[in-house]
Amino acid sequence: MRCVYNRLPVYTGDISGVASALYELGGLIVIHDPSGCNSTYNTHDEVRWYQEASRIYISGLKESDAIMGNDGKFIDDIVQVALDQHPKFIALANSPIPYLNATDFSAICKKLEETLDIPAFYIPTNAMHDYTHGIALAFKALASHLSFEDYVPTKKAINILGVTPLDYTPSDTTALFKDIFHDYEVLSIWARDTSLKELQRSTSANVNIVVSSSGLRLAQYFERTYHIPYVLGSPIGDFKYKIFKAIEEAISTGKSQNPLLHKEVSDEHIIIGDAIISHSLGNALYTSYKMITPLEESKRIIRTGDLVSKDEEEMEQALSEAQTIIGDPMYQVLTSTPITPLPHLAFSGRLYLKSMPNILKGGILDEFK
Amino acid sequence: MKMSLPISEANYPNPFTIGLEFNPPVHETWNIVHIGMQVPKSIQIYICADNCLRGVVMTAAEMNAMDRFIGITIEERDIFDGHLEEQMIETITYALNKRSSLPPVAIIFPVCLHKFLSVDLDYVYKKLRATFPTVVFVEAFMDPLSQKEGLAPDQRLRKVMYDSIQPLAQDDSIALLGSEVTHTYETSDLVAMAIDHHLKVRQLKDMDYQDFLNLGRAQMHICTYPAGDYGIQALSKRLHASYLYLSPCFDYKSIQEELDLFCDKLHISHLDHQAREEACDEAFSHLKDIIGQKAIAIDFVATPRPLNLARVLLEHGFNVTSVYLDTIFPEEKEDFLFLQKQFPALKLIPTIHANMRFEMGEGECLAIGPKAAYFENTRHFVNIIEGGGFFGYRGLISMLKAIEEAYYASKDPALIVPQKGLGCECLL
Repeated sequence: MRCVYNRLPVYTGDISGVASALYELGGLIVIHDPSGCNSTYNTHDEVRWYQEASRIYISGLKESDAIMGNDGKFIDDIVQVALDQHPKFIALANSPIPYLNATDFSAICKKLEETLDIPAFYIPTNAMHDYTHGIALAFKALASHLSFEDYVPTKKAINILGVTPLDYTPSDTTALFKDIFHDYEVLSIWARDTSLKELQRSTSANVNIVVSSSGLRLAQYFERTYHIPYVLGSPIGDFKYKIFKAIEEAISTGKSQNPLLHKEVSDEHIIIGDAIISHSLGNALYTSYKMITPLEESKRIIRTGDLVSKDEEEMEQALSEAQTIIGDPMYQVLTSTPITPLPHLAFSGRLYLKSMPNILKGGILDEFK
Repeated sequence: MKMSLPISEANYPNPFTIGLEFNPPVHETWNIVHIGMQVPKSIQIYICADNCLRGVVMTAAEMNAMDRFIGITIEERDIFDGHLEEQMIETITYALNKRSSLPPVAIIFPVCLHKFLSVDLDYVYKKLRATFPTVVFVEAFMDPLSQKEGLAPDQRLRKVMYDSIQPLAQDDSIALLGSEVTHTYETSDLVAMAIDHHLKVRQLKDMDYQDFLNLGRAQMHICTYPAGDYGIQALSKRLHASYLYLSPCFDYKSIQEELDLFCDKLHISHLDHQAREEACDEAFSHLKDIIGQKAIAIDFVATPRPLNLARVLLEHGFNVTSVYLDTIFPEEKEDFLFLQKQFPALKLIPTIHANMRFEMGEGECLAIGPKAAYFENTRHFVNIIEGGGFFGYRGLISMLKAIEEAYYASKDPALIVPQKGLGCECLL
């Protein structure tokens, strides 16, 4: 049944997605929320919180302020922290109650910019969507407020879009991406181990590589606004060669490439998770497979026969015919077929942190075969 | 920017102006999921937005209790269609019917959004009770929007979680409720005195459902944690039991007053206070010989009486340098005023102020409490919450022993303090 989670957790929410996307960029991220959003995020959805400081706060909204529309306190509190901490930008995220009472975030951002002379923008979350949606909104909002700089790359240049610890948790992820794409100059990685300065060079890239569905909207924004084509896919195993080829094709034609969806669908091999990562894995491992995703931004990256669903019964039915299943271990409650574990921070949180593989390391694929 | 404030310059009850809030990675305090799971065989049902559900469902997952948890998400269409009552009834009915057997108790958590939209919860509960007459539906809330100007969700839960208990013939038992830590014979004079006078002490840890229902037999309910006072007082009234709130203080005078009150209510003989005080003096002296002038920081998570503990330690010559708190509890006012006069240099430090994000100590301190451990960046800390089950002279001596253990033992706070619900099962 829609909306009922009898056995499974929900994925990380949109607000946490925003925080994860903008974590390392030196901005002030404020969630207009009474309590809970920040705790949930930093406990279950963020592996950097203890060791690496970031300016992510909640407003601590009170009932009387929500009812009386006391936006002045919200603004004053942000101004005070901005004056103390000198952030590079301010991003405001919404939560259910300010969403319901239609708080005018755009006006608040305008007021903040006038007062502080710091870029301020609104990310229209409402807590009712998953993290892929939140990341996508955050990246697009940031990109549309960023002043891009002209940069002359030393060789063909790429940006890698859709990298946060929620999908790519191991800390050596970005080093592996750079190693895999060593024939290209990696201008930026949205958004991990990357500075705001590096992001400002993004529009000098020849191609954007979208490695999770969270990066797709940003890629489409860059394509629409700056005519940069994109390639969908994560360089997992031998599938990376298809991506290399697609990159060259994109550069020569100026057209975006999707090498993900060419294989047949079968119920024998099932992969559950983010569409781009799952399809990349499927391409690397199987001649045919089925992808199941409950994630919002993944809905547009499917074949006929793949399943987009949050419904436990529907997923259980889809898994019933499978001989091999790759997915987060928490899905095991839906099937008696042993799941090959691919822990996903955005699903099982920190439960399997100690055993989280890095799918960008080629050898790990042997475990999935 | 230094956030600490000499106590001499602090205002009661709010020493700091808190605007935007930082959430430090210290999660040992029990949340509403942990608290509710103490009701044996109960299940919990949360009806909320995805982002709000994430924290509570992962709490259940980490404490290995997913089989007692149901999440129901709210989407925009549920709000705009104005069918939140029907959505609650249909989804809860569906979820309960999916279970192999019905639970005796279902704790239901609507959220701020239901309150804000004036959802007719009376109607919802009426329908659910008619459909599932054997299930006790407990009317909880997860509404943090209200907590700064009213009861917090955990305070309300500590009242309604006992709704399935009915008054029974009272026996020779007392119940220690309202907190998530367990008092033992060794750490609490309340337990020791009760047992020494052949009274059974009922606490929630490891109860089965029948034990839980038998809380209705307790002749007296005692709460030692401020956040439990509202709930346990109401429970006592409903069950016609007597009630005592006893603050977990550390100074001899207060301990004597509280224990005498406890004895008088139970009609048992008073303790020999002088002998106990002499034992405590000896323990203070022993600890002083060991830790000398080692700097000590205390937080409000470790004990609801951090200023009282600071006062007692300072009066015995210990080097308490700072107390971490965001507000001063009413029962600490006298200690606050005393410390302002007698120890004006004692620092008060907030924990949720935005600028605390960038405040980390050098690790030189001994901390009492997980938040102090985090902010002081120390490997030497007393890892307790809610007073640790320490009470009276035995509690004071237990605290001094815990400080000694922390002085000698080294542990990594980064591996410990982010874990949720100290004392709960934890799969991490």
